[in-house]
Amino acid sequence: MCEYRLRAVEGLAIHAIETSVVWIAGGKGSEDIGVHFFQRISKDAINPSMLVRPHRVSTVLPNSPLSYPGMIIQIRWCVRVRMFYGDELELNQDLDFILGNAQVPDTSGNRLADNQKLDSGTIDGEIAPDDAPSKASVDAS
Amino acid sequence: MSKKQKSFFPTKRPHGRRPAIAEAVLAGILVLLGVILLAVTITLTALYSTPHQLYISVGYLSLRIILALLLITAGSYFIISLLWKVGVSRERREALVNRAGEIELLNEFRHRREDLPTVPVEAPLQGTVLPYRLRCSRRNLWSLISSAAMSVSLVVIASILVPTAIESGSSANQRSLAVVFLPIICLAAAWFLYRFFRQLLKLTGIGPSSIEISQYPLFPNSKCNMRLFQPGRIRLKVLTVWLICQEEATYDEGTDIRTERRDVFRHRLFRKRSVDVSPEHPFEAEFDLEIPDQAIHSFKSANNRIQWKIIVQAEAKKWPTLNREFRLSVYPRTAIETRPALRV
Repeated sequence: MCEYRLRAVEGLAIHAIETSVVWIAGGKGSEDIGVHFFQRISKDAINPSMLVRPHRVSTVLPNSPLSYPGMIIQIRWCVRVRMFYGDELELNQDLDFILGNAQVPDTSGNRLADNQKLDSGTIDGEIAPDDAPSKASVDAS
Repeated sequence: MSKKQKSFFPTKRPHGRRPAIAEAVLAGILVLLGVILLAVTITLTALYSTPHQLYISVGYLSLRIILALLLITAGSYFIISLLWKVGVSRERREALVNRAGEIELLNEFRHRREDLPTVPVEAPLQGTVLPYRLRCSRRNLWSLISSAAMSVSLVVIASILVPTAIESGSSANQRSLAVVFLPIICLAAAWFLYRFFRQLLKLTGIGPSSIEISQYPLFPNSKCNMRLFQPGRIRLKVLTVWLICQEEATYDEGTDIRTERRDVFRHRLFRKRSVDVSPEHPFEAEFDLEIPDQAIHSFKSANNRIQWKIIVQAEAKKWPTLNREFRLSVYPRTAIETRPALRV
């Protein structure tokens, strides 16, 4: 389950909020991205109460690609929230999670450390582990 | 992983190795002679014929062209038939033809797992002993074809330049250009011919490998039987089968596009020394294939790829080492869990 909160930035009006669940394959190679879930809240639908209550994203995740801490390829999943303030100013934050438990048998110690590149922003997020689902899911409301 | 191997071939050295090599060389020479004859005939006719009179008589010209085409056709036919016959026994060829109609059963794999868009599907063929036969990479054949095309092209160019270099009818400028470029082109042609014959001998001496598996698709922690068929005409010093997981990353570096490959998992499935093979009695062995637990599935995106494959490696005395590649599709398990990424 994924839950996040928005915080207002003084003097800036929010024009839009985009929430997505994506996988990103990168590392040595050029980055590839796959968007699994996407939701955009436009300016008209944004109201002050949205800054008070937490938000939750819910989607059923596919069976692939699994998160993978490879040697020259890393695959990571994240919930990405992007806030647009107009004048091309935007803030975004990724909240990583791990899908599956894929590892390379002979690459011990090659952990997902690089997956934790969180931008400093105004979103607090938390993902709770899902116990034993037949289909994995990220849940947020 | 446990190994159980069987060999169904006689242990004495099979006959017919040297004739196969001689056939391959002879077929190559026939094609080469035909190309040279055709190129020289066309070049001389084009250079020294006038609008009113041909360089040689029509009958003689036709005879030379027909002879050249016959040489090329005969040589090509021998090469193709040798490549086909050398590795596949008659029974196996018949079995493949008979079972061609049953391949519809495999179509389900081509349309299966549409919920896995990033998992490349390597649809197998119908097997003869075990249910599925893996597809072999065509890289070796393309290398042979490209070497042949390059050597033929260079031989044609050299054949055109030779008359220019030696005939007094050419201008001094043309002659000097031909003299300068002829040795370079001849050297390049010789190099590509050497590569062509090397590839041809590799393909004819060490026949096409075939891998069959009892289960498809494969999943992490899954285990199945694997059967290797290795025909050929030479005694192999070592025959090894590897299971490999390879990462492949493509990236831009300046104006270049580079691809880096790294084997992140390599496990020897089978190894045998002193293997005698023949087209009639291919070497056969059966052993276990196990995909490690927690292994990553096959993956393919625009710039990144994770590939599982079987490599058959054959080493023979005085022969170049041969690597044959068979791609595997490893699917993720359906029961997947999520957990938060560790924060650092």
